[in-house]
Amino acid sequence: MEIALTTEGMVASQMPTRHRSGQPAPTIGIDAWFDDGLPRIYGYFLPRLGGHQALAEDLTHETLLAAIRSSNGPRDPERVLPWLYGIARHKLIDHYREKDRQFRALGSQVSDERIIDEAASLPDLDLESLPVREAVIETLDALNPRHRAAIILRYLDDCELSVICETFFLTPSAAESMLARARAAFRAAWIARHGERS
Amino acid sequence: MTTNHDHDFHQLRGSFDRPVQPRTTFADALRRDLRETETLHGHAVSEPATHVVPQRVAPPRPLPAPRRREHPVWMNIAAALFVFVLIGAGWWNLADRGGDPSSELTRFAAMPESNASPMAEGTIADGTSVSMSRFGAIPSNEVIVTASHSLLFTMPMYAESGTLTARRAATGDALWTIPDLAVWDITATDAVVVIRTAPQTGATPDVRSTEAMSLSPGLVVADIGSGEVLWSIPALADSAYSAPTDDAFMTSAPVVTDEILAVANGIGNVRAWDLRTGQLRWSINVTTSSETSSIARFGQPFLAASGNSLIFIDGDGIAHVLHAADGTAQGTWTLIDAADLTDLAWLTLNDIQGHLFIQMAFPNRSVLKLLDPLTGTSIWERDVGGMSSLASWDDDNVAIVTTEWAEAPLISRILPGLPDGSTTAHLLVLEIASGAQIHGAVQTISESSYGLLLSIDEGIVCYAFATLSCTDNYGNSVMIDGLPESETPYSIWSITVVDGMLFVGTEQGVYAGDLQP
Repeated sequence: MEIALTTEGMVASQMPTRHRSGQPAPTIGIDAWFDDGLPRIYGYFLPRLGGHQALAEDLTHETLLAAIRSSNGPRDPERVLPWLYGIARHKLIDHYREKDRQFRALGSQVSDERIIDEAASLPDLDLESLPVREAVIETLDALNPRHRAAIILRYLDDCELSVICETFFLTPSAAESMLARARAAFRAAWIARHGERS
Repeated sequence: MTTNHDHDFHQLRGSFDRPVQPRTTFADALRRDLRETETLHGHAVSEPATHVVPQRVAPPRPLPAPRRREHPVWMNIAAALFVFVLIGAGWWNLADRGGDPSSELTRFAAMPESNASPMAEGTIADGTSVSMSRFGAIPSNEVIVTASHSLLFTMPMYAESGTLTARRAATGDALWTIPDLAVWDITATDAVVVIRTAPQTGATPDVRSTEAMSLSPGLVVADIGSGEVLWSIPALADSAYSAPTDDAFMTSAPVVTDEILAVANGIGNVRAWDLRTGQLRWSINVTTSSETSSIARFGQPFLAASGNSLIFIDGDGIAHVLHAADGTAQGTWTLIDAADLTDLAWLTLNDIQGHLFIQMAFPNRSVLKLLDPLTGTSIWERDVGGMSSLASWDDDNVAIVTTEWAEAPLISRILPGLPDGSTTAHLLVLEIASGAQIHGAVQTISESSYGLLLSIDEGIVCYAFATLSCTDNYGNSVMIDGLPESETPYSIWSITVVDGMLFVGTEQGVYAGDLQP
């Protein structure tokens, strides 16, 4: 069974808001969405977390628990999955920020000016092939946290640049430069692993 | 915004949104957890699954762009004039503020035979190298403890073995060393140094293995004067932990009081040993929460000490107060409303002079709080603009940095090619007792600003953005002279200010100098 996102998707107006009366608003019980929603949310996290099962399980757990604890989930069944994806996206961004903070707090600085090389490009990838998708995930996992997050948010999730700005508190020009470095780092890592051709 | 250089990346879209069935044991346990939570909250309305309309699935949409405030034209003109006046007054850059420097460093030289020079190299699979050196604790002005090793996968829990060295702070002479230690973090008192060892060691570990993530950290306790290892525990997650889950292996940083050393893990087990002998004094579980302790510092469970008490924060935001000597419960209080937890971008806890210092970061603002750790009573609370990130503190003051997006004046936004805003970092120094601001300054963060470092002690705060700068509590800059030209700002891995000295860890070695306001 597949469930549609509404045309508005995850825009802010549809994100859950607290019930104004202060009383819990009725939401849809887990029986209605668990069997279908769990593999989707887990499948959303897994490739974005380097294929780490334990990490994907943790964030899936956090996401669904936050959904259950929320007193203002959607009453419309069609809104459940977009709502869950919205929470999942926030959890993922929090995770990336935390990883970046750890990276910075430990003094890890990447002088990555040297890796800008926009001349190279990725080959056409057969992304219907599981090994190719796994190779992409492995390559993403080899990047530093900021580069990894930038590629995933911009290209896997098709986010606007403003989301990257907001995630890492960058100006648009700084985010664009960082994204260019992230692309170059990904290309370099891919070519180092797989050569010029996939 | 798109570029002409990313066409090859757009092929990635849509290929990583496929449902994946998780492990049955995980799914079953999660379903049980959710049912229990649903029952507890009691607000769910069960709907039959058939009410869900089968339709096509699309991947999640991007989050909306951050909302900007719209200002009237007169405000933009006034802001432009104000900025112009500030620039003219020389107030723009923190390094330029405050008139003449009160002193210069009298010595700033590479320590001889620094064990951080050259850096050890760690190798991850496929030839990717990640290396760094970092300081440990500096318990007094006489001894500095440094750890030189490599980090694998940029996480300290994957540190390779290296050498722990105690040096005389004044000269850099080595006092003692402990070889073959994979240091995760260091805690110290005047009597002992406590090392939490990293669970994953080796030249080429499979860092993506979930088994590797489940290996256990250990403890090593050594005499600060001689380096003699007093006692050690190779693996904290031994049979004493009955639940061999990942949460059981994720431990808090060790907490040291006068007599005991305590560690907590993610499922609420707290254990305490005699600090000098290593004898287990008590071991209890303080929470029945089924949730991992998500209120954590840098992803680790949070345990703090205050006087003769320990405070453990569980995953439900409940603070458990324990008597340090025997582990008996002294009470609980609620750290934060559960609804706020969902909205937080992140939450940072620090144990500052026996108080809990909280940085609650919401999307466009931060709230700082100082709490009495025994009762949860708020001592002071302060709303600061932007996102609060780092914190450093001494006996009297806490220094924090917040970052904030600021819209450019109208003239900049209407002309093509000019930036429509910038991110700025605010350095704030607050009095711990009252929360009053000692002084504040603003410095624009450059693109390469991550790796921000901050350290404060005895009225001098040093920070490294693109450059290394120091200032006193009145905003007067303190000159730093003598760092070799071969050292670039990007090679600085750590800065520590203690007792009027500045220690700088770089790729080339450990440097030290006097800071006298």
